[in-house]
Parts: sequence; C-alpha cells; structure tokens
Amino acid sequence: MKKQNTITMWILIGIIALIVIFILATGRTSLAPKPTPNGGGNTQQESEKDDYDVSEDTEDTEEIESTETTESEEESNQPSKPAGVTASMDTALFIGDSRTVGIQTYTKELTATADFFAAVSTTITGVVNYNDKIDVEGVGNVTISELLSQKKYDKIYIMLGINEASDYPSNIARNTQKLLDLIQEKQPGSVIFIVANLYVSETYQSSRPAFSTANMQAINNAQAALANNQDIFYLDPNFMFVDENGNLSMDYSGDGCHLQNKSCDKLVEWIISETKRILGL
Amino acid sequence: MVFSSLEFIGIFLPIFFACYYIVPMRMKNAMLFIGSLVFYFVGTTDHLEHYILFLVSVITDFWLGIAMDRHPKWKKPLLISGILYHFGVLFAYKYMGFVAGEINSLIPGMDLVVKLVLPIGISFYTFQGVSYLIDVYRGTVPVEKSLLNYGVYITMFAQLIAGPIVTFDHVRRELHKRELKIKTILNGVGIFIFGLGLKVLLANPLGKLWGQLDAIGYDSISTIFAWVGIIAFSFQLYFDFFGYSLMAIGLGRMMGFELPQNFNHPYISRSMTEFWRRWHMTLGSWFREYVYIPLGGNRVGKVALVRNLFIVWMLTGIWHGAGYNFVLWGFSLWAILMIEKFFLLKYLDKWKIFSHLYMILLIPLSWAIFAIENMEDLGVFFTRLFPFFGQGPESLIGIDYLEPLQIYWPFLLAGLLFSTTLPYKLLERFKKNKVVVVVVLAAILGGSIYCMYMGYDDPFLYFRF
Repeated sequence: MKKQNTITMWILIGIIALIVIFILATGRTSLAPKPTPNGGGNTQQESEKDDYDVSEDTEDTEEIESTETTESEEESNQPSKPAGVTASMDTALFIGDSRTVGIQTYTKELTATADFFAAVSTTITGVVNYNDKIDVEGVGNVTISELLSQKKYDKIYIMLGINEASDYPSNIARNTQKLLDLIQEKQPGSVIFIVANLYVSETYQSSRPAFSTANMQAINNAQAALANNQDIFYLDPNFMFVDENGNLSMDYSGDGCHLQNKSCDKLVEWIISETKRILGL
Repeated sequence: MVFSSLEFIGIFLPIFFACYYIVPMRMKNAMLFIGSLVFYFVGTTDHLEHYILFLVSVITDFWLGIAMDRHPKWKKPLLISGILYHFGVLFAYKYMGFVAGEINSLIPGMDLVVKLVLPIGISFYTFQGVSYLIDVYRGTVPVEKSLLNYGVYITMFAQLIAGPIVTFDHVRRELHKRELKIKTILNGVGIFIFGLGLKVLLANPLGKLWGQLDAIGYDSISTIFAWVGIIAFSFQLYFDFFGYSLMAIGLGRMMGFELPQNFNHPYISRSMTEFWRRWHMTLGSWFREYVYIPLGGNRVGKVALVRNLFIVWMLTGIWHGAGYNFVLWGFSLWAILMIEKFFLLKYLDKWKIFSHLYMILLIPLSWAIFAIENMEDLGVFFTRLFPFFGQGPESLIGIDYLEPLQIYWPFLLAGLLFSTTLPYKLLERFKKNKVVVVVVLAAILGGSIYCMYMGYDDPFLYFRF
C-alpha cells in the first residue's frame, strides 16, 4: 500500500509540477491557443481580450482604416437622395438571424409592412453559398435569390454575421460581398445598409469566445469596409446598447445576446432615422 | 466536457470503456483514476489553476484522513483545518465576487474587483471531501489507506461535476471489491441513454422556451406567457438535472458502482416537505447528516428546531449560488416548510386534489425565485404572473404565448407526462421485452445524437454549481 501511495502521490505531484511549469513558462493558465491576429475568434479567451490587436494584421488594418474613412465621409459627404428610394417600410427588406426575428416579432408598429428574410441561426454563407430557404411572409419558402427576383425593394438591411463569428472576418466579408453583388444584380437602384452585428454581454461571451467584443468588432470592421457610401452604407448601433466595458448591456437584453422588446423598438427607430438622414429623405 | 456532448459519447466513452474493460480487475481503479483525471483536465484547459486546486484538494483530504487515523489527539484540529480549507476555497471562488460587488455598492469610491471563474464541480467535490473528513473523524467509516482508492472516490468522472453527492461510505466496498456483470453493464447503458434523452430531447427544447421569454424581457410579456415560461423552466430544470443524474448512475453501473438515487418523481409531491425528500436527495441527505443532525436535529425544542431548519435552508439557498435571489429562495422554502410543519401538512395529507393544486402553484413560483437572479426583474416577473399586483389587466390580454405554444406544446405535454410515474411504470412493464427496450433506447440515442450533431444541445444547468 505504501509503495502504491508513493507512486500515486508522485504522479499527482508530477502533474501539478508540469502545470505549474507551463503556467510559469508561458504566463498563461489556459491551454487554448492565443487568438490569431486576423481574428480567428473561436480560440480567443476573455482573459486575453486586452492582448487582442487586430491592427497587427495588414488586411484588417486596411479594413479599419477604410471604416474610419467611411464614417468620416458619412458625416461630410451627404449623398443625394437616390432615385426612387422612399422612407416607407413598405419597400424595405431585412435580411437577418434570430436578432432580426426579434425585430420582426416585436416592432410590428414600425415594420409591419416590411419584408423579413430572417430565421434563427441564419448565416451569410448559408444564404449565399448554400441557398438556404426561409419562409417569408406573403411570399413563401424561398432562397434570397428567388425573393429578390420576385419582389422589388428600395432599401435592404443586412444584419448577419454573428452566427459565423468563429470564421475569419475576411471570409465573412467575402461572403457579405457575394450577397451585396447578388442584391445589386437583382435589385439595381436599391440602397443597401449593412447593420453592424450587435455585441453580446460580458457573461455571454465568457463561455463563447468567438462572440467576444473584440472579435465582433473585427467582423463589423470587415463588413464596414464594403460600404461605398453611394448605395451601400454601414450603420453601427452598438453605441446605444453597450455598458461601461463596451459589451452589450444587460439593461437592453434578457439573455445577453438578443435585444428585449423595447430595445428592438429603439434599434428600429434609430435605423429608420439614420436611413432618412443618410439619404436626405 | 458534458455527458450530453458528441465529444464525450463519441470519443471519451468508447476509448475509456475499451481500456477499462480490457485491463484486469486489480487495474480497474487505476484505469478509472486516469480516465477521470483526463476527463477533468479536458474541462479545465482554460483554467489550469482549477486542475491544480482539484488535485491539491484530493491529496489534502487523503493525508488529513491518514493523519486523523494516526494521531487521534489531533483529530479535531485536523478536521477543522480540512473544513476551513474546503469552505475557504469554495467561498473565495463562489462568493467573493458577489461580496466584493456588495462592498463596492455600500462604500462610495470602493472599487474591489474579484473575477474568479468557478471551478467545475467544486461545490460537489467540496461536499464529498468534507463528508469524508467528518465521517473519518466520527469513526463512521474506516480511513482509506490507499490514495488511489480515495482518488477514485473523489475524481470518478460519473459523479464528479454534477453529482449525485456520493459519500465515501456509499462506495467504500465497491472501491475495494466490485463485480462487473454483463446484465448490470447493459442496465447501466440503458439508464445512461434514458437520462441522455431526458436531457437532450426534453430539457433542452423546454429551456429554449424559457430562454425566449428571458430574451423578450419580463416587462413585455403577458400573464399567460409568464406562466407558460416558468412552467417550462420548472420542467427544464428537473429533466436537465434528473437526466444528468441518471446518466451518472448509468455510468456508475457500467463501471460496477451503484451510485445513489437523486430524484424520486418530485413533481408528484403533495407538499413542499415531501418535494424536498424527492428532489436532489443526495444534497438533502448531506445537509441532514452533516448540518441538521449535528445541530440537534429534531430532538430539540420547537424554537431550536425552527432555528436548525432555518440554518439548513439558508445554507441550501446559498449553496446554489451567490445572489440575493438564492437567499430569498432558501428563506421562502424554510418559511413554507415551517407553515407546513406546524399547520398545513395535516390538511395536505387529507385533501389530495388540493395538495396537488397547491404544489402545482408553488413549484413554479419557487423556481421563479431560483431562476431570476436580478431582484428587480424578479419583482417585474411576479407582477406578470399576478397582474393584480400593480401591472393591471392589460397583461392578461396579450397573445404572445400562442406562437411559442404552437412550437413547444409537445414538449410541455411530454414534460407533464414524464413528471408522473406513468411512463416509468410502462417502461417497467415492457422491461422484459428486449426488442421493445432496444428499439426505444435506439430511438432515444439516435434522436439525442442527431440533436447534438445539429447543435441543439445546451450546457448543463448545474455546471455553475
């Protein structure tokens, strides 16, 4: 028994020693790999959030710079009202995931006449690469291509990205570009708004590193870079819903990811007012 | 790594059991110890310090037990130091953040920051370690002289992260000598699959209904939706935890251990007193054995009895989490149990229908306090449950419950059915018909794996404990 205890004891002490050496040598208490500079969010740990620096990556740096230009241009160069575009929700289409389903469900007073190509777990890659079908009220179960061929819209809001947050932002941007190309092909003359992915709460992201605010920002920046401020615009409503740490505030969300009823109203009101402001309507 | 995950079922289980069954009997404890250490390691790769804490805890308890045995004079200080160590660590990880937040809110300018992530299973292995030390101190169990055997007792992956809370006495004999019979192993496989089905096919969808309500926000829901939501949560919590406990018992049998029953149809109870004899039975036993009886149990005067039960229920409340809602929850249960003990129980025993209606109302209400951690939200939620408390009748006329009910009514119905004894009696009846059993279990396993593959699985609720 004594010999067996000694062996077991040494094995346990050995394991502890190995872990201590690892911690001392690397300065980390996690085995998960450090986040890749280009935003491979699925490996990123909350504790390493401060180390995360997208500016190390050339591609993303360009995207961020481009975003900044986009925002400043938005302020100074007010585009003229595009022909045929109205402020009415009758001719608006929202493309999104469960968060957009929340808008569809809880903002009926504002968006009752708009169309929603939205379902839980929707991804951009699913929409453009796998032709996912979604049940659109009054139209039926259709792909985005079929919907855009059947109905005419003058304002199209894209609210996607979070469900593929573990993918590289550059891949998400590539697929977003495909969606933009498809919309422009099927709906010439329409105005497209890319709405930034809302962040999630601190608690929510603690167990889902891909949803970290840093990674969501990287995805948003990659999508924002696709805006041309002529007929594609970028809207970022996150400032309305963040807490003091820059994460989604639980004042606006019940589960740390989706907006509550009243917050959906706030978001849609802001989107409508921004649409009018940008388009001079 | 949760039991209801493809990694556990598809990778860990086949590899572990292949090794476990191949090695000779004398090596099985070593195999189980290695497997359990690997299992816990996989769960702590993000917080390696938790792994160290766990191993230190195992080693400390073992040597404290040996020391108590060798030095009877020092028994008491050794026991006290062990208890202080365990509860000190548990307090630091589980309650320090909450305490710091409260201090910050009470003292202007104070900015204490405590961000400790709760180690997986700490509430369970702490209670097991403490029970062992107390049992050795009392002399009710002989000290374990093998570190390997003691290590298996604490680390056994079947019960490590979510119970049942197994006392050393319960598994002592099996740790030293156990039999592996094909019939028991197959029985264990069946129990595991059944538990998996309850968790994946029933608890998870019902959890989504509650999550939907939570996401909308309590101040926007109708009274009926509030009731539907909290009933869904009540079923979710039960089938989540019951399912996980069954999986643990099934795994135990597959390894030759008979782990204790944790649930006994709690939702058919006719009083809260009876409910807590049927719900999380191993936790109730632990508090009775190591808190209630040492305080004097019921062999004391009425005032002392009320005090003893108050202590037990407040501890039960805060064991479940750091937050005022858990304090309120524990207090409410104590108050209800006192009312039942001194007044209501005799009527509940007499009036069967009334007693069931009483519990149908009380169970979801008690879980509402448990589920909603923010006290302000809890208040809002109660005004939705009872619209005459300030909200007014407008929340009665909402139809927001129709859409979720259209989706989730089969799960609510199944939840109701599986809360009764009927399905289990049916299963018992068909137990001898092997074809029926195999078909039912294969369907449950197939359905569960499909749901897990499709990503419909949720983390186990009790992981935060």
